[in-house]
Amino acid sequence: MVSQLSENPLSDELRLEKNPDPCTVVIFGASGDLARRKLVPALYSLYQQDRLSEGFAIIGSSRSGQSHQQFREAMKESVEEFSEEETVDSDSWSDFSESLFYCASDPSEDSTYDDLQACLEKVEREQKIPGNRLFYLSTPPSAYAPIIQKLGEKGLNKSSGEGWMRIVIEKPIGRDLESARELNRKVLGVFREDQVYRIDHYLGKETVQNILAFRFGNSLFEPLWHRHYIDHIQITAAESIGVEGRGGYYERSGALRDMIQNHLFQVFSMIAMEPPVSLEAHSVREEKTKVMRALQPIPPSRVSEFAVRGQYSSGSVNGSRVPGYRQEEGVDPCSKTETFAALKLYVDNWRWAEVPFYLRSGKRLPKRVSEVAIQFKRPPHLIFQESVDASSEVNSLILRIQPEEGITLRFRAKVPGQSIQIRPVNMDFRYGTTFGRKSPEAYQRLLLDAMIGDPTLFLRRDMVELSWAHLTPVLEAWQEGPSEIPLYEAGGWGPEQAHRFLEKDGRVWRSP
Amino acid sequence: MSVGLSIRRIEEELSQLWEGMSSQAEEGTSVIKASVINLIIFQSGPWSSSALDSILSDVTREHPGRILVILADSSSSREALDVQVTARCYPRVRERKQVCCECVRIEAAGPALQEIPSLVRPLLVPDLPVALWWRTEPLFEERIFQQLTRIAGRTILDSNTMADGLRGLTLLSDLIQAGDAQSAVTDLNWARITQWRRAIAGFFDVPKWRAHLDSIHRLEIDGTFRGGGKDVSVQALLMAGWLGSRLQWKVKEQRNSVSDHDGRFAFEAIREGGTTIVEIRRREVNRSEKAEQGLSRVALFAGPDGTTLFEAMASADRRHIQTSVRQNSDILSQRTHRNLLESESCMICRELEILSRDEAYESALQFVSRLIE
Repeated sequence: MVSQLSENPLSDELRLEKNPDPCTVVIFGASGDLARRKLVPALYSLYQQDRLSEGFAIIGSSRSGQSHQQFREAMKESVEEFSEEETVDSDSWSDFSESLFYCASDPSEDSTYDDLQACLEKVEREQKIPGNRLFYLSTPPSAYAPIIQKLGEKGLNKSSGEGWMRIVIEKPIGRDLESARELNRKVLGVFREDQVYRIDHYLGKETVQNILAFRFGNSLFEPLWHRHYIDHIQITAAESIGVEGRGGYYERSGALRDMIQNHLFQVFSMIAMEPPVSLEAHSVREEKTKVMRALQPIPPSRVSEFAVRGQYSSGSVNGSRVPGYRQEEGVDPCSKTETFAALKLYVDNWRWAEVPFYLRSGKRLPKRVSEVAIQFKRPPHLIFQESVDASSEVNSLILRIQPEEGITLRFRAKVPGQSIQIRPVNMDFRYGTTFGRKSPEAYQRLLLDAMIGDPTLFLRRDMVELSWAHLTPVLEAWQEGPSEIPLYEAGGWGPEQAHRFLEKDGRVWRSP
Repeated sequence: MSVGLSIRRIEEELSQLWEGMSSQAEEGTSVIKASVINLIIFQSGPWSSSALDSILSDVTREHPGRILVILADSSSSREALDVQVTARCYPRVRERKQVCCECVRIEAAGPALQEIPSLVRPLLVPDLPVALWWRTEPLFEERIFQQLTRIAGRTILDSNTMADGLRGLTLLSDLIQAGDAQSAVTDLNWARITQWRRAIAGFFDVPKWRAHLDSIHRLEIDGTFRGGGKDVSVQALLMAGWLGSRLQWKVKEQRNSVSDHDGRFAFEAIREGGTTIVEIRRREVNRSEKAEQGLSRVALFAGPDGTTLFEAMASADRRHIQTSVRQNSDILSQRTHRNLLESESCMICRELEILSRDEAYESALQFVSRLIE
């Protein structure tokens, strides 16, 4: 009987994608930036696309008191400002907003969680939602543990019927190995690992997902994806902006924690991993974790050979003068926090032995760009005339994550004419010109996957802890190290030490 | 520019166009030739240049490639064949590049029409998928139609162009059955009901309501259509075919179907646990009425006494589909869905994203063709 199928027989075909089960999304920190700018606009977009099932509700929660109506009005303003939809359709907003509710909660006030429980049960009853719940912690990291503890104490982590419970946690997941382990212990004391969805929004980006399609959807590149042909790989996440008024947060973070520990390690793992046996979450995540385990440890006494850092001073970016980091709001005038970090990784396995992976990220660099540059080895014997700058003429494959998402293959070709002269040329594939359709915003994809129950694009516990473990020697060395941090002028590509970092290996940083 | 009939000449003209564009590009910019598809557009009869231009602009922005536009005049006894080659470029401001696609326009009249397939084949860009958009009434029996559909990996037709919609659906079904595993055929009327299908399918994302799928004992589909003819609405038939095929209904062998002067069509289907009466009602409107064509209501009656009603209705302006679930007189759910009234070029853009066969469509069509046999 079709009604006894666990899936909807009318959907999951070419034109009708599978939708998540009816569920309630509880957003802790609903008054915060992430909820306003990303989460609720993404949920509204999903609603507009009919990707949210009939039984659906959002309960916003934070310390502040407000009515359902006040919350709905505030979210309407957010959606109008931040949604990727060109206009907010008044009819569908009216329906969508009736699924929005608000219930204040404060981990320090026990009774507020009783109120939240009552609110959840009432909403589920009225909206006919069978007890499926997605808790989203859109709060400062310091609030994670208290909220999770309260959810456990009040039994909110357990479904009364057959419903599922999931929890989404944003980065940073800890600020070092010990705190990451502690947080994971607390989360797993209340939820099972399969209920925990640790977000890294880079994984929601179309072009990051395209790395898998590119590597494992073609037979052309995988044979070359090897130490025999690749000289080194550079992974860059550059920002032209400064801390944008978030100096207080950034002081406790720095480039290594903010970008490299999470986003760049994720990209690295997708570039370096072995082919998974399937696209199932377990297979993909297992291969990513495996390559992390193969990382060559950084000896504590030789951190400077594997990591450099810097901090931007005043300079010019995009034609405007900008202040230095220490002059930014909320920043200690004597701060040692790095706004630039570069790392060298080696993977001890047959595929990658002795191939360095250079990761770098920084603020107030000349442009915003994230990319992976795979530099191939030079031909063993060049029979053509060498140009002056031969180092720039190696074959390279560039995977551009943002902006101008796409792939560039750089190779040599003959210059038309009587003599045999060669020069490098680029062959470009651009998402924007090939696929005219706009890619969905990362949070739409990630929220949908969390509701559907697909953890492929989320981080496993061991992955998080392995990345922290690898960075521990660097964090400790920088904590205890020299009192001065190298400075770089805003608008440049980082400190001089970063350039020497590669030059001593006979290589240069790519200028994207 | 016009060229005589010569493939080599056509390719040379295209090459010269690219060289010309590159040399004329502003300093510091570059021209990108992008190709993701070969699109053959066949139009019998006149098509205004501005309308054609508009569609080409929209389609090539999203699906750059080589477009072969065939403008056929089958009524003429005079043999004529003329080819024009153009490139369409779109500036990408941020990148200071232009993205350009190629357009080959072939005007053919009289006996020269039969030469079209031999002209099209060598002009296709190798290794790219080939789609055929047959924009006017399909000539199922004609050689040119058969040959072009064989060349294309995917053929897009529009049953709205068929004078006899019912017969057309049967011929469509035959065409699909005769095709090989790699070739696909679709109908824009199927695309036009996607939003409706999405709205209906959404009811049964709720597990509790999914239980009613086996007790749907009545299905009503209403549509508003212009023009004469006593045909049952194709969109309504496809909607019935979709539900019937997905829910594993079987048309009752002893057909109980009625087709009378107001376009009402009813049949009985057998399902597990009972039968379902399907009634398709068509309301014709005059050309002066502002009502848009298309489905206006789909209602599924379920439950032991027909107590549960799943209903989708078009809003007055047809820009929304309003769904509701009622049990007896209680409203359990109401929701408003966008009903994107897509232009022709938008629909084609969506169709060109699909490169494979559409199993749901083929099953729905098969159900309908068994019904109207």
